[in-house]
Amino acid sequence: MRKRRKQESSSLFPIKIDQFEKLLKSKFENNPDLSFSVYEHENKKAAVFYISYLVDLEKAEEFLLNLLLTMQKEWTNASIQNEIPLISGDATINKLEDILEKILLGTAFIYIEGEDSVVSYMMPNKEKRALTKAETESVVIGPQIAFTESLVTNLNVIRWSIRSTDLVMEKILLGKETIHEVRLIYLKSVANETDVNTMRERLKTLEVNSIDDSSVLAQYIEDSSASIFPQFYLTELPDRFAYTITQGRVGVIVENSPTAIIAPSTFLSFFESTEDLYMRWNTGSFLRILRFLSVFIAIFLTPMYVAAVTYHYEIIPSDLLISIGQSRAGVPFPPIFEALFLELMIELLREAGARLPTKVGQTIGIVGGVVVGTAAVQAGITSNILIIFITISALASFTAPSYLMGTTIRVLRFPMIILAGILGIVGIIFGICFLAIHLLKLTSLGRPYLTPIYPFQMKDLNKVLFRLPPNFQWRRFLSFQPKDTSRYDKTKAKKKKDIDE
Amino acid sequence: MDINVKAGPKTEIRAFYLFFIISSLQLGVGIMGAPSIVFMESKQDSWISVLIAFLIIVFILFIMLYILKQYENTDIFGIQADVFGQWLGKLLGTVYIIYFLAVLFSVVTTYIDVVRVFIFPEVSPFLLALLLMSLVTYSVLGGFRVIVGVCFLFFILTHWILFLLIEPALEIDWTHLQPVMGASITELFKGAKATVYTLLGFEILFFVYPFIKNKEKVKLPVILAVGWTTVIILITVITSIGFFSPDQLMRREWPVLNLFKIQTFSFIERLDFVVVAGWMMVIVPNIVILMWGITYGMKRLYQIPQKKTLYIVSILLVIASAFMDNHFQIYSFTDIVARSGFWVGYIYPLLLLPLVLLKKRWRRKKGRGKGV
Amino acid sequence: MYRKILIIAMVSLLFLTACPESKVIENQGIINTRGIDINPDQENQIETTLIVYQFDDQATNITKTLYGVGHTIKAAREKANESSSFNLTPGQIRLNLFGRELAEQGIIEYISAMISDARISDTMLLAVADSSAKEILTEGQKVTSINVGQYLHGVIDREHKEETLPRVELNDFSHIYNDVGIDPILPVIGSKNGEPVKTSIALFQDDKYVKELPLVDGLLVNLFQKTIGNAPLELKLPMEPFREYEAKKELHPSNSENLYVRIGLNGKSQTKLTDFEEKHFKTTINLGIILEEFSELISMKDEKAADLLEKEIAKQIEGKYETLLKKVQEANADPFGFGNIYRTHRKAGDLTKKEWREIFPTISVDFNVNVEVLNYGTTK
Repeated sequence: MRKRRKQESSSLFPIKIDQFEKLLKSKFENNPDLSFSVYEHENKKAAVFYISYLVDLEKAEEFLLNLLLTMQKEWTNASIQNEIPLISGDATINKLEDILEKILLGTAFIYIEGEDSVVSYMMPNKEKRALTKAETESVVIGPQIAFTESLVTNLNVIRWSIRSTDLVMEKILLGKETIHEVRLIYLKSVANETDVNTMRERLKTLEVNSIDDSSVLAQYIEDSSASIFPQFYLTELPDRFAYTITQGRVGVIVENSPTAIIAPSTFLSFFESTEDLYMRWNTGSFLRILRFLSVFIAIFLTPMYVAAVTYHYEIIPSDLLISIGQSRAGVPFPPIFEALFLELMIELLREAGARLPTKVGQTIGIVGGVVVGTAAVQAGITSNILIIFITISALASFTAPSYLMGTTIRVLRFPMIILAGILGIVGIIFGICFLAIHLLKLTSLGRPYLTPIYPFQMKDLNKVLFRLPPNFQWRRFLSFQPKDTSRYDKTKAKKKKDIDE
Repeated sequence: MDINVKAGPKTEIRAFYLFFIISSLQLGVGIMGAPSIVFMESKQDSWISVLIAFLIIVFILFIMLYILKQYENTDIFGIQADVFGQWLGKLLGTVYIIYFLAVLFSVVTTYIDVVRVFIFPEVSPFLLALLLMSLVTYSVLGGFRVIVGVCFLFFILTHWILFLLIEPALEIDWTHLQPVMGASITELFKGAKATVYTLLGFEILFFVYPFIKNKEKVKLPVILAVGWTTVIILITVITSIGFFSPDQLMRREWPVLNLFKIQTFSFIERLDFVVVAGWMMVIVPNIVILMWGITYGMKRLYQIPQKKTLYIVSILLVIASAFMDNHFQIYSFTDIVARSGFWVGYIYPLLLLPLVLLKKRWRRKKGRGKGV
Repeated sequence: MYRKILIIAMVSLLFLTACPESKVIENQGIINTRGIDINPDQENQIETTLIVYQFDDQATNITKTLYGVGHTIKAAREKANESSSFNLTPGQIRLNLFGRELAEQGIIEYISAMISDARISDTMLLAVADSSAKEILTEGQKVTSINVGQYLHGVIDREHKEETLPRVELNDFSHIYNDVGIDPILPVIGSKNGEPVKTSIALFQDDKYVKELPLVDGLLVNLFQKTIGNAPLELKLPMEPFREYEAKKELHPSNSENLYVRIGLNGKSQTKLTDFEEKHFKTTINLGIILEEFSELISMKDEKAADLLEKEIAKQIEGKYETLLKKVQEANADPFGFGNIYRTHRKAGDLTKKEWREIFPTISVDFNVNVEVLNYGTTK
């Protein structure tokens, strides 16, 4: 289809207006939205056409039609451009497919019969929502706004966050059937060139019919699509985006998508919140360590219970043994099914809460959590100790700042529970080994996923595992080899004063 | 076969990682039984034997590094091909590979045996072998960098076990370590010989040397690795001798694991279960490197694709482990492997050194002759 | 991709078929305490009394007592299992009580069996029953409202915490038994109105129960072996020297012969072999004590009074040690571990049990106790 169109793509003009109208209408068959009106002036016919809802109608009327119809001179392309001096005026388009492409972007055209091109004025009217608070990555302190679906707005927000001429926003068009604009954003003087090139290469060589969202794009350009771990960080927070860009990473934003892609991303970066930066360094460190701890709790607490109760009653201290034993006594299922059942219930609650409107969702949470939980224990289907464990691990799994990573962690629990139910503690250790090896093998934009743990980079640890006071934070994240490794002068930061100075 | 190896930038590693490669290979299943083996020979002076063994190993390591320095960038296969010629070199290289294979097999079967004794008496060895070999296959498929990563990460992830030795260490009966120097010199050296079995593993240096980026810094991490292993063995030997009485210690197969039996916490008891299961993380890097060594060697010697060797050896090992379920069989096999390890690891470099030097001299003479 | 999934599915199927036998907690009869006696009806057989936790939904009491006989512990357990629908497992045994008769015959074969079973905990406590273990446990279970094993475990464990008894865990017994030159002691559990109580200390020669010692000797042995902190002790001192320090002599003079003083002991000992040929040892014990209570009104008004008290206490403790040593030498069992010290002075460190049995009754020890009062409470 596309090929054929290309063959007939010599200049269309000059053409009779009636003929032109027919041709255009055939392209928009059954589409009543194409407005095509013909005017006459000093024996010259002119056609003004656009898609009514894509064009800012007020503007079109006031600055285009008004001026055109009250014009004293003869209508030619040159005179029109002269008389209607809008910035977006352009009189070079003479191909049908160019017209079609532009008209879908909200351009109004004027065609004077007999001229060999059309004059176009871009006056798009794009509906968008206002900037709102972030939903999936909500923060307590710091900037609250989130990206929106409008690319222009997002670019605007980013530009205001990083006011530097170094900031590059390369435009790349993606999609075969429907075209999407994608921006590759990085800081010229900081970002590692290999990373930028790899990202550009991946975007440009991508062949898809269309891209639905940046999260879909991320899946197309990821290093390993078989893995359960997300390899690019998807954020809806402009401040987080700006921070990582200034650290020398590469960002991608996609038209019509409120989330931005950050690459390369490390495994540990999924547990960093911008809030850690806005907090004081010591409290920030505490929160970050808490989050790492919660990953372990989320993945291993329930499997540990299953392993201990199924195979290793020896490892339970005797006081705990009695309470676990008594609460297990009436449960008719083996521990593995009991745990899977409860985990599934929690997942159901979460899913139902996410799909329902906010107010109903909360009610469902309370009803499900409290009422069903209590009833399940009283009915003797589950042990109350397990309910505590499951709740703790569910809570822990929600602490990951990245929703994608949180989901990954929750899903990981299921194979772990099954392994624990089959092989006890040996199964759990096997799971840990497998996960560790898997993480070692993963890469993000060609860079190791586990850095700075492996390859080991001691100087980066204070960025990912914990934080240090600002005077120790003068380095950029070295594992990604930014062009410029220091953020500010360290000698000044490290200067010490004597007593009473 | 090229004598020198060209390692691409993707496979090159910093010398710093040698520490983890060597110490993870040294700390395997051997350490679980090391105290009783050493104690049998040199009694309360075992710690002196361990230190003697350390000195011997450092000496051997210097010889190995000296041999490697004679070449531009080579491994043991290249050296053997150069010194003994293609045919004999290949034969000796094959011996190395078979030795690695045997060590690998003995590690896997010993671990399975331990799991069966301590945790699951009725579990089939086949299943455990399958688990282990699937981990090994998965990581070796990732290439040399991932293998080094496995060594590094698992080294860090397993060293918490040392903290569990604090409780038994508090109960050391110091009279068990007295009188000092009660053992005769021969007994001490016999003990040192018993220790060197558990300290085997540094011979991997002959394999990984060409992959190291900054070769001028090789010495320190290598010696630190052996030093660290020695420290850990010293800790376990001294704790075991102090904690157990002599008769007990000699009768225990894996005294180190028994040490963890008395550790309890308010939320978990019987840490020996956790430790035995967690020991999987100690031996995984161990067998991963060995497996890599085998695949790499087969490629160097016979140009067999590494993947092919990997799959075939893994499957064979899983099947073979299913038949090794007799404790005494495993024990005697491990014993044979350790004995041969003594020759491969310790004696062989000593024999190789004069030959390498002779060859070099001969070459230089030849070169000079040509020049004139 | 599909092939991969197929392989994974097959492997997981294999997992399921080959997975180890599960031991789900509520299907286990978890043995908490075990008593071992000689079977009175048949020779060479033992009778075990098992206090078991059974997590049964319908039963109100989760503790049950089961009995079984057999030639080995395991066989006896299996016999006992015949009268229970649960699978009896030994992994959680916290206390093992040996009947007196059995203890007198020797218990090492049972200790060895327990040590070599990887499932059994090394931190299990050991004790000797005054009469038969069966009697004590059965009666005790009737009288005490909680699980008798738990109760006894608590009683012995408290002694450890107060440091009035050396550790008597399974690994300690095995360790001491296997060491040349030291013999184990265990607490003796008797019955008082059916309620099990600690009555005395059992001294073992190797693995045989040879002599009963008073409870306080546990503290003396413990003090000899390690540093202790605030162990409670009551001493009987003669009243005579303290007459002049009586607080209210004028109002109501005491007419008691003895002064009882309750103290908290802190300190450690050091033993040296001073004469290898004569086998003469010297033990120095440095004690810091905290005065807790007097049976009479005594005021520690000056240093002299304190010195006097220190001297009297030291004399008392020295005396206790000397009597204890005499007793154990008579029994030819060495709970202190003089043999250990003696062995380290032998050239190659070799000493056989037999040799030490010959030497031990002939050794002489100088006990030298130094006491310092650290704390008198708030009044003088």
